[in-house]
Amino acid sequence: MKSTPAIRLTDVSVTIGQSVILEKVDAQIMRGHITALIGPNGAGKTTLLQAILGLRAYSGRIDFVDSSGTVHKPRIGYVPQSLAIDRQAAVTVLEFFAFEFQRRPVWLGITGKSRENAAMALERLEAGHLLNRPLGKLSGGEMQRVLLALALHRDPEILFLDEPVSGVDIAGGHLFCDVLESLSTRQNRTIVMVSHDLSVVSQHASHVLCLNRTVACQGETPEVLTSENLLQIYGLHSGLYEHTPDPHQHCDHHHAHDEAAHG
Amino acid sequence: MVETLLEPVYQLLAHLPFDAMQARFMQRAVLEIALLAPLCAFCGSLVVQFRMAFFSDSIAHSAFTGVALGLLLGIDPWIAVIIFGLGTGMLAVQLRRRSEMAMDTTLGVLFSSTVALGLAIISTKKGLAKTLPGFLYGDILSISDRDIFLTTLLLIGTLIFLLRFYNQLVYTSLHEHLAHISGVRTSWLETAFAALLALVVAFSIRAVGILLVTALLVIPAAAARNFAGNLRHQVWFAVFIAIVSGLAGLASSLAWDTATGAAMILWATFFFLLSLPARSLTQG
Repeated sequence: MKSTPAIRLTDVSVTIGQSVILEKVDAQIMRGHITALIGPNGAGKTTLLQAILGLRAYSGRIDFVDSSGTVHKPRIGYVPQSLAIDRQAAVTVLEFFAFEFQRRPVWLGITGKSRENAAMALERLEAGHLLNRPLGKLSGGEMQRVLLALALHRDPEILFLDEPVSGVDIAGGHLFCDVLESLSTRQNRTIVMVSHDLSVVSQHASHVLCLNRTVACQGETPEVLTSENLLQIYGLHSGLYEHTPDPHQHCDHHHAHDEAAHG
Repeated sequence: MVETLLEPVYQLLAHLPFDAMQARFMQRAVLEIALLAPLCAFCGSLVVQFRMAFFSDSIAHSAFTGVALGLLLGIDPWIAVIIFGLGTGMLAVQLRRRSEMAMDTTLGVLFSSTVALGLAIISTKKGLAKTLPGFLYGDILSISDRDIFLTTLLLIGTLIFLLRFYNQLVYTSLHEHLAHISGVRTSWLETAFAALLALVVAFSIRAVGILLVTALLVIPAAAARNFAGNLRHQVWFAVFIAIVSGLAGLASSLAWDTATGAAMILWATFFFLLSLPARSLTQG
């Protein structure tokens, strides 16, 4: 089946103060695929994500389109990198879900419906045991599962992830990988993730949008993640290599490690 | 009019088995504590969550200028403190939004400049300085019926606001963008809470003074956080600690002839110290 765009970016520019962060970005995010936004530090990856999410002012056009090409407003899910919470905070995972599910303040109690919805959303990601845990005590992987569970509860047509496996343990990364693949391939959901980790990108993303203030290159992952392109974007010798797949790896992909960070 | 409304409450308080409770100023003080303590506890749990202790300190210190301008312009200094505190709070929020400066830098500039302006004005007129100690240390024993009435209105308004927006406020404190995407009007909400906090701080100065008002917001909430295993318990523990600290502070200040505001904060600090070992039990 021919893939159609879910998001069209036309001439998108973002200026903060006197600094031009993004300049004339023209790109398409394809429906039912995982697209990674990559680029060096300061390339404007997070800024572009924020512009798409309507969190930052921009010039140009950002259109969400349905499968017939008509502009519409899709249901959106967002998984941030982490929450602004310290380890001593008393807020539990259940209360965090309740902020989304109920208007009644949590100091007057959690409604049965909120509890049921939260438990169901967590169970989908095999994270039901986290329900009554304080948010501040979660590991990176557990936090990502909680945030993904919350995002998926809204049944999003497009899911945005900001550095999804940064600080996540290996098991958590595997689970995350399974869920993302299932969402894009079996449920035909569109996924956009910002990542600086090229190994994650090569394993999970089918499409890549390379940014360096403007679009440096875009397309299917194997065509884009070439040594020449990485050299152009990162300015260093960069490449990907494969090694023997880990027998415990749940994903169908090979492991790949980026050398960009090592030069 | 206000006194008539409050009279039944005073009659009720007069039945408490303490001789001191026959005095009207003590009845007023107890009533003010019963109103102010939950007010500060509810807001304090959000101040701790939003890390806004320095914000409330800056509002409190802006009272120097509020007092000075009030005296200079012939306005009731307490009204001037409230208006100027509200103005300073709104200015801080706008500066943070419109500049790329860190919040603590913005507040540091506001904090110092408002104190300097207030002191400069006060130093120009001999006699004005005599009024300062009342604002620095507070005096809950000189609370008037009008103050109690206004605190009651503020408590009712705060509870209505928090009944509707408490969840959204905590959500915003955890991740502004996530909250925004889920439909929370985060900018409006932050501004509204800053305004509310500015009012609560200005009102609380009457009881504990400029120097200790932030402690009244932060310490009960911080102690409660150590005792609590979830946010619901944290809020109610904070209310309990704030009320008990307030009443114990009032009683001990009478017994030992110390400043009431300071005694209230010392009791809250006592609870905070008690909470430290509890933290390891409740939170592992």
